[in-house]
Amino acid sequence: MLQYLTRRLLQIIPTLVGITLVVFTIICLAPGDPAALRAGEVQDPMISERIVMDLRERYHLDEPIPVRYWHWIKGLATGDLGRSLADDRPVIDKIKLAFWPTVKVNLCAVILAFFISIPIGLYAAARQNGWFDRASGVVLYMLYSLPSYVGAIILVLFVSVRLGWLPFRGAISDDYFQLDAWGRFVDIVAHMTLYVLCATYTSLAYYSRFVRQNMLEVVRQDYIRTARAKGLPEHAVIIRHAFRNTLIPFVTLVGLVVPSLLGGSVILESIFTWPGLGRLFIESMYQRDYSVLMALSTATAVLVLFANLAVDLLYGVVDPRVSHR
Amino acid sequence: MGITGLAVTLIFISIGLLAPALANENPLVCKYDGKIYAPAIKDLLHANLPYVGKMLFPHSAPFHLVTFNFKKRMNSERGDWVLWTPVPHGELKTSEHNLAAPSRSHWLGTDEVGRDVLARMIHGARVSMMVGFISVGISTTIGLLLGALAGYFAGWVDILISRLIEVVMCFPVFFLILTILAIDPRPSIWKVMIVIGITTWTGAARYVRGEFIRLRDSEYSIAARALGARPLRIILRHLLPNALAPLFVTVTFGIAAAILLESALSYLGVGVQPPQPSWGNILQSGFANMMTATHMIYPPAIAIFLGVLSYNLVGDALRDAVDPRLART
Repeated sequence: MLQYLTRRLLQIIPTLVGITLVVFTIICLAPGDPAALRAGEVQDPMISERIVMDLRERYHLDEPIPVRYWHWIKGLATGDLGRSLADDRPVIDKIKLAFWPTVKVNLCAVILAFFISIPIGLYAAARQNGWFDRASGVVLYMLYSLPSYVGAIILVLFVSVRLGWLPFRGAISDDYFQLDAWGRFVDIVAHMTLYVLCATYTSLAYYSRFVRQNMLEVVRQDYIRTARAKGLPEHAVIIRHAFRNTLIPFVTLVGLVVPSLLGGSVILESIFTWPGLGRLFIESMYQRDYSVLMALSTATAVLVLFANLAVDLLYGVVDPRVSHR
Repeated sequence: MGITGLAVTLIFISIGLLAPALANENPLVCKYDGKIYAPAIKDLLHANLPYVGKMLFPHSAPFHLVTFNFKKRMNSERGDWVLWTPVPHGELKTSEHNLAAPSRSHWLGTDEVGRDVLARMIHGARVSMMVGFISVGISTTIGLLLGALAGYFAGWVDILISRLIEVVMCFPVFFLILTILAIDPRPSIWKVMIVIGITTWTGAARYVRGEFIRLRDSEYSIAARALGARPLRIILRHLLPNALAPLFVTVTFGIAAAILLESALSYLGVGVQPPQPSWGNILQSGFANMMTATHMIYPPAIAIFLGVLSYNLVGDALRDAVDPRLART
């Protein structure tokens, strides 16, 4: 087990170096000079030229790419992600600020999706080919094919613009700090609702089909027949005997979901003007802020790699028959 | 369901292919000043067969002039007659009626600079189909090549390629595409297709690799090897045809994903660049003008939905046909 873990962790290192090197090269080869972009605000040409020189020196912009990559790796090894080229704030602070809004919404969306799709999947499997199974299948398939940002725009149009029920710009209202505790809570929930709905609905089909498919496989097993023959009530058979055994493949699903917490939010965040990681990415992209871009890409890659590892390890915990060697 | 999906995809493809003859500010066929012209048909040929179109219709003056307005110059007393395209508006032609609601002259209304939305939707279908097919063509070619090499030769080649697949799979693909396109000073639709193609080939590669590992030790490939066939011949003549049918499934789903990706990128303003229309950037300008006019939101939303849905339906039907084990129980 320990040997397996060590080997997997060692395998992650070259993969990570490969990913960061490619992303780093792409960003560095990009035309557009972050130093000139920032110095452009200064009027006096003499001063701005000196600022550009200073900035280039400071961020090693004149050195060849391998040297710059080496500087970056050295910083990373000591836990220093560097400073933003756009406003000189530490990268880690910018990410910390944007981290919670993104995670908050996506966590709610994932939990909501599980709470809706697991019962749907269970019920559809219990009454296979019944009306509910067919109807839910069609509806969820349609939702699955409606891209989340298209759905978001339609929802915003009807709920926010036509009916005026919910706000859709930003995470909090302008008068948030004048509100009392209850008012603040309502304000936060109101701003989140549409976003969470949009982040939820596309994944429902995938999860519930997944639960249904695995249930159908488990239901054919002998121990389910035994449980039924013992005269157990149907709900006990489905929940206690069948569903528990579908949890193993479900672990993989959770592992696949985690990385999407970071990745899939760029468009939704730009529609809802949400102050999260996706917006930070877009902003940094336009400012050629490569230290922030690098940090975000690396974080996503690390998350994917570790989620994969965690899934493989959890397999062993959930199902003792799987052994790691 | 699969047949319905196929019908819808075929309709979209034909709309895309025929776009210049479906929506054009110039007539399909007309007689002007004693001569017969077919400017829209010339555009159609020009768009689909660049070189042949040029040879068949070398020049069509005065219709290529921007300032020429056939509607105003037409004189029926002189014997002029005209057959317009079904939508008599060009996708780039601006007018003074901006953000006009749907009417008899503009069936889906106009956008913020007075361009006909229906004409832009039709030409947007062309862009979406093109991006779907070409980017998936690129990704499938890469996937096929690397997957075949890894699956057939095994050993260190396999280890190297598998590692590469793993690295690319861990790429934050959407972030990467955004970065490449956003930092490019001159984005174009071709770059969108190439970037989507070179970042989404891992699925096909893994699939082909698996198939090749399975097929490599089949009797017919051993027989071919015993007869002294070269690896290239075994791969191309014996293994590839047998691995190809299931690959169509990944291709179909890939097209759906590419259409989705293109519209998302265009929505963010890094994909297809205005004034060239795409469903994504029509939706974006619809969203930007949401407070004053809402008629621009529905057409691209419905088109993107139907496009993705129909390709998914075809993909599902194909998968059930190719691999009955996976069919819905």
